[in-house]
Amino acid sequence: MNKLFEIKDLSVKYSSKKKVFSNNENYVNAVESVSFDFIKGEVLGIVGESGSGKSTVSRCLLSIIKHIDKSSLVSGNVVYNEGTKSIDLLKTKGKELKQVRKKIQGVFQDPDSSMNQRLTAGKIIEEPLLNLTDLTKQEREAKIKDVLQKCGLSEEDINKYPNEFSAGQKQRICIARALVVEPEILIADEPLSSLDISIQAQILNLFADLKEKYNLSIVFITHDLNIVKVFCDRLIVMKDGKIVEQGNTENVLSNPKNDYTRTLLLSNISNSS
Amino acid sequence: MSKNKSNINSLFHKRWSKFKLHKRGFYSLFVILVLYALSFLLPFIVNKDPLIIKYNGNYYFPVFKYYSAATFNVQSNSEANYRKLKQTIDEKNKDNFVLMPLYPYGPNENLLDELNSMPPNPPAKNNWFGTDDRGRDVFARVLYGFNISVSFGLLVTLFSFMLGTLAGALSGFYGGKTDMFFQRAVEIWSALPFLYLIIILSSFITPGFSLLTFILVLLNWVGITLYVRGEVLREKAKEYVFAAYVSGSSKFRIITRHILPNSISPIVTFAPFAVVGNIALLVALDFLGFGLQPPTASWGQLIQQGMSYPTLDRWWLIIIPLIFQFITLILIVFVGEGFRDAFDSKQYSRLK
Amino acid sequence: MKKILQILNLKTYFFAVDEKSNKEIILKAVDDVSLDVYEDEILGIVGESGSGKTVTAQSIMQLIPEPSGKIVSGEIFYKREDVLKKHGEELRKIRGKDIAYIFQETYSSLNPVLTIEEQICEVITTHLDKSYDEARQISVDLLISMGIKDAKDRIKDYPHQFSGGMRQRIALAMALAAKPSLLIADEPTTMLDVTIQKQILDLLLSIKKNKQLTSVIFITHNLGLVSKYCDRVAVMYAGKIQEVSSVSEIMKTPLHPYTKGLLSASAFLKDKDNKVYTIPGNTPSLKELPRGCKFCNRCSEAFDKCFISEPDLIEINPNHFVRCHLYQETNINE
Repeated sequence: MNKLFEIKDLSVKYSSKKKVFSNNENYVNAVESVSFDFIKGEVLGIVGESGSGKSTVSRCLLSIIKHIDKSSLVSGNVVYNEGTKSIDLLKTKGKELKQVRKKIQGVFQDPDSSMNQRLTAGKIIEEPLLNLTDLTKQEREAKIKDVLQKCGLSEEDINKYPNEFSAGQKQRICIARALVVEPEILIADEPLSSLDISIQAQILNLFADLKEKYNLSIVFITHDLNIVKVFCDRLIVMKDGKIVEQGNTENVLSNPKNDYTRTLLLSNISNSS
Repeated sequence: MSKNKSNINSLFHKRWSKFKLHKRGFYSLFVILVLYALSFLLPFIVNKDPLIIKYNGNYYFPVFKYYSAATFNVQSNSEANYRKLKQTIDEKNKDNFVLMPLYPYGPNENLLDELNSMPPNPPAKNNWFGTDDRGRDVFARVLYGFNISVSFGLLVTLFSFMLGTLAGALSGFYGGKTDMFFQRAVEIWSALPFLYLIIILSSFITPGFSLLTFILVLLNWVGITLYVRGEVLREKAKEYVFAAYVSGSSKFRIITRHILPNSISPIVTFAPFAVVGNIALLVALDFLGFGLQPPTASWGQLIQQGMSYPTLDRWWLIIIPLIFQFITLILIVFVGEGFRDAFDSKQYSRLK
Repeated sequence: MKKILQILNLKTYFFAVDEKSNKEIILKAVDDVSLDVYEDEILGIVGESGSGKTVTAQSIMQLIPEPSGKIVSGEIFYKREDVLKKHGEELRKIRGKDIAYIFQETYSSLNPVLTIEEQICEVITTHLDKSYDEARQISVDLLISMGIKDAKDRIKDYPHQFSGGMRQRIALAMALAAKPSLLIADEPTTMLDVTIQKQILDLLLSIKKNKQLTSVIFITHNLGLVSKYCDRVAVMYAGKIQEVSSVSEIMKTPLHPYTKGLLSASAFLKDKDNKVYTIPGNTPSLKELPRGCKFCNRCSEAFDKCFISEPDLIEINPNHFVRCHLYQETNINE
C-alpha cells in the first residue's frame, strides 16, 4: 500500500484577533487533530457540511493555508511521500515547495471566481507551466493543446475569455489548468457544487476519465453523498473540525457507525429511493 | 502562443465598446487628445521664430536653432525680430523669404516696442487676445498654457496614482503591520494643511514645472490608496488567487498579473477627475503666486494680472483664460463620465 | 379540485444590448408559460439555469426589474382576479397577505439593519389589524412554531446573529405572519447544508399539513427534493414548460427526454459503460436557442421534426402534460 499522504494530528486554528497589537488571542478550531492516510490510486472523499473543516484540510494539502490566513496556527504533520522521499508539506517552502506543486494540484468550487477573467483560457492554463517548468514556448503550447483536448475542449478555445464559456466548460478549463503539469495528486474542493445537475454528471465522468488517463489519485471534497457513492473508494466524514467516521465507502454508507453519518445519510435525498 | 488578435470579448474591449456608446465622453476624449497632441506642435504654429528663412541663398531654421541677428544683417544684441525681418525681406528681394508660423507671436516675447499703447492691450488685429501687463501676447500664452496645464494635470495624476496604487496594493495584500503603517500614513497625510505647506515651500524655493509636479505628487498620493486597498482586499480572497498560489506563482506575480489588473476600476474612474482637480489646482496656485513663476505661460498668472486692475478693466486677461480652462475641464469631465459608465456593471447585470 | 392560482400565457422578457453589434437582444426568460396551482398542494417547479423557473415566480409577485425586464403579456389569476393588472395599493395588499415569497438568499428576505421583531411586526401591522404589542406576541409564537425555541429573548436580535438555517426559519415566519394562502419558496434551501435543508423542508411540509398555508410553489433544481416533498411537478427548460404531472407518475414514467435525463443525472446512475448518465451539451443560453424544440440539440431521441417546429404542451395521460413531438398524435402511427 503506497501511502501518498500521511496526515497526523493536523490542527488549524484561525485567530479572531481584531487588532494588530492586541493581546487577547481568541482562536476558532477549524480543524482538530485530524489524522488519515491517502493511498496511491484511490479516490478519497471528504464529506461534511459547512464548518466541518473539509475546505481547511484541502487547503493544507494544497499548501496554501498560510497564504489565505497568515495568522492561522497550523500544527501536526502532513507528510507527502513522493517516491522514496518524505516531505512535510506544512514545513516546505521555496524551491522545494515548487517541486511539490508540480505533483499536487487543485480544482476549486466556483469556476468563475477560480479564474482571472482578464486572461484568455490559454494563458490561464499556461500559468502552472510558466511557474513550475522550464519548457519552451512551443513545448508549452503543445501541452496546452493536449490537455484541452483531454478535457473535452478544443484548440480554438485557447484565445477565448472565460465569459465566452458555459459553466461546465469553465470548470473544464480549471481542470485543464490543474492537469497541464501532469500532477500525481488532484485535490478537488467541491468542484461540482456550482454546476447544474446535468452538467455535474458530465464533469464527474470527466474526472473518472482523467483519473485513468493521468493515473491520478484524487482527494474529492463534497457535501453530496450521491457523488461519493458513485466515485469515491474511501470516505472521511467530518463534523466541526473532527473526523467522525472513515472507511470504505460502501461500508460507511451501508453501515454507518456514527450518528452524524446516519443523519447525513437520511438527509441526502436521492432519486433512486 | 499565437499572437492574440484583439479578441472582442476581452474585458478591455467590452469596456471600450461601452465607453464608445457614451457619445459625449467618447467625442470629448477624441477632442481633448487631438488638441493636446496638437499643443505639442505649437512651436510650429504659434511662435515668433519662423519655420524657414531663405537668405542670400542659404536656408535657415530659426524655429530649431538660434541665429544671431548679424546673420541677417540686423542690428541687435540677440536674435533678430523676425516679423520685422519678414517685412523688410518681402519688400526688397524676391528670392529671399521668411516663412512664419500661422500666428507669428511667441508666448514669452516682450512686444513693448511694437505696441501703440501701454500694456496690457486689449484684443486687436495683430494680437487676437491682447497682451498682458508685460506686453506678451495673450493668445500665445493661453495656448501654451493649455499644454502646460494639461501636462501638469496628467503628470501629477500619473505619478500620484502610481505611488498610491503601490501603497494600496502593499497595504491590502500584506495586511497586518504593513496595512497599519500605510493607513496611518494616509491619515496623517490627509490631515496636512496643504495650502500652508505650499506657501511655506514657495517662500524659500521658486518651483519650476518639475519641482512643482514633484511636490504635488508628494502631497497628493494618498488619494487613490484606500480605494486600491479595498479592491485588493476583495480580490485576494478570491479563488483565482488561491489557484495562482497552487500554480506556483510568486507573490509579486500574483499582485501584478492577477490582483492589480482586476483592481483598476477605481483608478480608471477617478483618473479624469483627478486630472481636472490637478489642473484647477495649478491655476489656483499660479493665481496666488505660489505656483509656476513668470515667464512661464500660465492661466492662473494671467487671471491674477487681470484681477489686479479695477473691476473688469482688463477683462481679456480674466475671461479668456477662464474660458479655456472651462472648456478643457468640461471635456475631461465628460470623459470621466464616460469612463464611469463603461465601468458600471449594474445596468444589465440582473440578466443572470 | 379548485385552483388557487392560474398562470395563463405568461411572457416575461429581458432586454439587453449586444456588445458586439450594439443591437438590442431580447431574452425570452419566460416564453408563454401556462400553469395551474391547485388548493392544498405543493407544486414543484424544476429546472436548471436558464429554465425560467425563478422568473416565473417573480412575475407572479411583479418583482421583475424594469427597464431591463418586462412582463410582456399574460394573465395570472388569483381568486378570479388578474394580479398582473394590480398596481400600487392593491398590489401591496396581495403581496404578503395573500401570496408570500421567500428567497434563496436569506438576506433578500431579511433586512440586515432591522431586528427580527421590527421586521415581522411590520408585516403583521401592515396586513392585519393588530397593535404593535399584539403583533410582537404573535411574532414570538410564530418563531417558536418555526423551531426557534428561545424566540422571546432572541426576537430583538439582528439577522446576522443567526445561522443560515435559522434565518430561513425567520423568513418563513415572516412569510406566514399575515396568513397568506399561497407561499412561493424560491430555492429556499439551496444555500443550506443538507441536514438543515431536511429540517426546513420538513417544517414546510408540516406547515402545510397544519393548514397554515393552502398551497406552496416550490422552486428547485433538485428532483430528489421534489420527489420527497411535492405533490405535482412542472419541469421547465429554456423558458417553457416541458412536462407537468403528479410526482408519483413522473418518477415512474417520465415522458419528456429532458425529464428522463434529469432524473438519471440527479441520481448519478451509471450506465452499462460504468459512466454516469448525463445530458450532453450545455444548459441553454437564452441568446442562442435552437429552432424548433428548444431541447433538440441535446436530445438523444430527437428526429427531423424536432429541429423544425416546436411541439405544444399536450395532455397525454390524465393530468400528465408533455411538450414533445414523440407523443404528438401524428407520430403515434409510426
